[in-house]
Amino acid sequence: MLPPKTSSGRCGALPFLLPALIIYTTLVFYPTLEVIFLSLFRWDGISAVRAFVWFDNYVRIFTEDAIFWRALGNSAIWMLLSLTVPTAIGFALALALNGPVFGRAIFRIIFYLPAVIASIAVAAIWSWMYNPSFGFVNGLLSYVGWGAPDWLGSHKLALFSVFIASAWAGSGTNMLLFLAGLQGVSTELQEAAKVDGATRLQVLWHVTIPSLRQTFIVVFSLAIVNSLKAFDLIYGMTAGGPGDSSQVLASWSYTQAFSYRNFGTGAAIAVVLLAVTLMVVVPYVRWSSNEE
Amino acid sequence: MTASSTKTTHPIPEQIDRRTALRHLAVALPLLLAGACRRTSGSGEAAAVRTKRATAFTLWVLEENMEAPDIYQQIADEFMALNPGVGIVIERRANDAYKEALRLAINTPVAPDGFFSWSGIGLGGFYVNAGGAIPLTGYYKQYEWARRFTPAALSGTFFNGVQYGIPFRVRAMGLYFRKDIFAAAGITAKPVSYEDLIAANEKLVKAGHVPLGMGGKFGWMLMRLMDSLLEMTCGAKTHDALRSLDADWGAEAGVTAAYVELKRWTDRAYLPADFLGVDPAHVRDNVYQGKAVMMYEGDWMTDYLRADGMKLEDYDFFEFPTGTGRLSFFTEMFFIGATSSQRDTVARFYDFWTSPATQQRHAGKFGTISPTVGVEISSSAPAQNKQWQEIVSRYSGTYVPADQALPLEVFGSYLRVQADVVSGALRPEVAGATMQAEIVAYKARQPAGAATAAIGRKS
Repeated sequence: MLPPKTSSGRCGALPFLLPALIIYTTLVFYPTLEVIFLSLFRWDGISAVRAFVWFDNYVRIFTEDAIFWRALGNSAIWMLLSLTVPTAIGFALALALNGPVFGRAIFRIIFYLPAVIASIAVAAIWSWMYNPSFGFVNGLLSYVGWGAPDWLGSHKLALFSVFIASAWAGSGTNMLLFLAGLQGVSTELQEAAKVDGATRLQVLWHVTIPSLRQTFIVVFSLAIVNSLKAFDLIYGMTAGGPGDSSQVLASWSYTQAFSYRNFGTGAAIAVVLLAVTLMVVVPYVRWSSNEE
Repeated sequence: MTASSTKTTHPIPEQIDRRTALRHLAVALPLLLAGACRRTSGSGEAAAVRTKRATAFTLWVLEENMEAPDIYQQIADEFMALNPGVGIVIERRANDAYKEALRLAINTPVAPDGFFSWSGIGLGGFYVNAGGAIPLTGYYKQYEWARRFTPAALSGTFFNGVQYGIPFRVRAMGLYFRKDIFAAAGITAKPVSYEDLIAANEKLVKAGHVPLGMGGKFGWMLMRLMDSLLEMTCGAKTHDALRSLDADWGAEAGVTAAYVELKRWTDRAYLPADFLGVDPAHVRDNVYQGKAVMMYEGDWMTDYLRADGMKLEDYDFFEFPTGTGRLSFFTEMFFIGATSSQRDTVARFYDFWTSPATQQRHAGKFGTISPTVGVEISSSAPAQNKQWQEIVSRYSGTYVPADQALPLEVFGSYLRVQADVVSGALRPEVAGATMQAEIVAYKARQPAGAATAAIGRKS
């Protein structure tokens, strides 16, 4: 039986919590406060003097910076795509590889492999695949007689082209999570449904998916957080271009801070990104906890 | 498995009371203090190391593809041999990583004593404006550097009218081309006017070639073409005024003409299809494979051609014909960090590096064109190097790339607008006005007295 919670018990836990608290405060809480503080200044990142400008950086990004709004829109698109495409692919792969399929273990490894490749390597691989002169994708399309789009050079396509690489790299992890979840789905329930005359689709919809509720919550939470953090693939494949058309909030924050040396503006964008993340993640986690 | 089956010899208390917690704290605190003391003694060791190397200074340079890759170390070794007790620690990084690292380190305790950078407000000027480099006026007098360098090389050393850099290499840019494809397309002479260049482009397109290889990712390669088009259509004086943000980009007819020309290069297939997403690093491969004929590069291309196993005699180059009598050109310089405690030693090393004797001894090994007056290229140097030197001596004026001429943020707009024009997202006729709107907004954001204009002495 667990001991009752007492004030002395809480104090007793303190020495054990202290190291983690110190690390968390130093590495997470303090930098977050520092970024919020920095967003109130005009600073080039290296000068000794910072100019306090109140909320000018926020006013600027919301009223003058067209690229900020584009980046915000792109971040929203990226999040919606991340919630649907890799989730659907991962789920489909997990269903396919859950049963007694020939070469199941090999296929699981093959489909999971992209998830262990470093993002910058994924960016290099897909940049080469999309290369209009040497790339595999355009070569294949040309071979079958189809027109080859300008994957990374088109204002309209660049973001989606990068997302394909992201889905390729991310679906394997989702597959693994769903496979783990599928091991907990009651076979008795599935068999009972079949005996009652349910089709495979009905079993999937009415038995399997509801049983994977916790897995879906984890997958969606990870998808939301990772999508709002999206940076490395975009930076590696398009550098936010062409013409800043594929900027997302994280990459635009980086560009402002490290390319244009507007650390205050970059910090303000980072704070907006943090706020958006909290606005999306906190209600979702609370809702899922309540449902649980 | 039950608790009794484990080999734990100490009972696990079910509840830790306040006294136990205090005991834990009593144990933890000395440990934390010990750690802190160790850290202090560690700092002491570091201080000892620093004292031991008190006469060593750090020099940050580019990692590059040179005939003699360790030339920096060779010259440093020569200097150290002549100056016992002086140590030089050289750190190299590739282009973008170098800029990134320097911007993070400058003005901090880990900033280098000496560092490399380019001329112009967007690159070297950034460190100057941030107080990360010291004026070299005194050293210019002490070592009489003003008489040592060519006027073109010296022009880039001025920031806000004061000399902060010492030139160690100058770079010139032009259009490198495949001689065999030019000949096969019936182009018998190098273009000397823009009309000649367009005629050559048309012949190449007709022969089924892409005239100019291009990688649009990052924007800086397309920038070189845009720079030259602006120089041609606006003329030298107006181009300088545009770059100093004094002239109105939206009102100058030459600006619109330049963007119209840029669009023409795209629409007439003078540039590869779908190049905006291509890494500039792939352009050389395109040219080597005959998928493109020309590339807008600098005198460093000679080193690259050799390193890539190409035959130099298969390639030639010419200046982009702008008709203004100015050459696309920039200076590479050394600076002295503001946090350096060894400024005099660093200056002495720079004096040694740029001296006629050192420059002559290593002529051609770390660049084609020496900024030092009177340095002759060795007889064994490639013909292209001699050709560049002849070209540079022929020009009286120069214009630097936009990334060196414009403030960082305005340069970002410059890249965005050129990409939008090329892709068709922006009509060339409104591109100038778009640039001007962004410049006006940029100026409005600057605090009073800030340097918003291009800095440096006009060349």
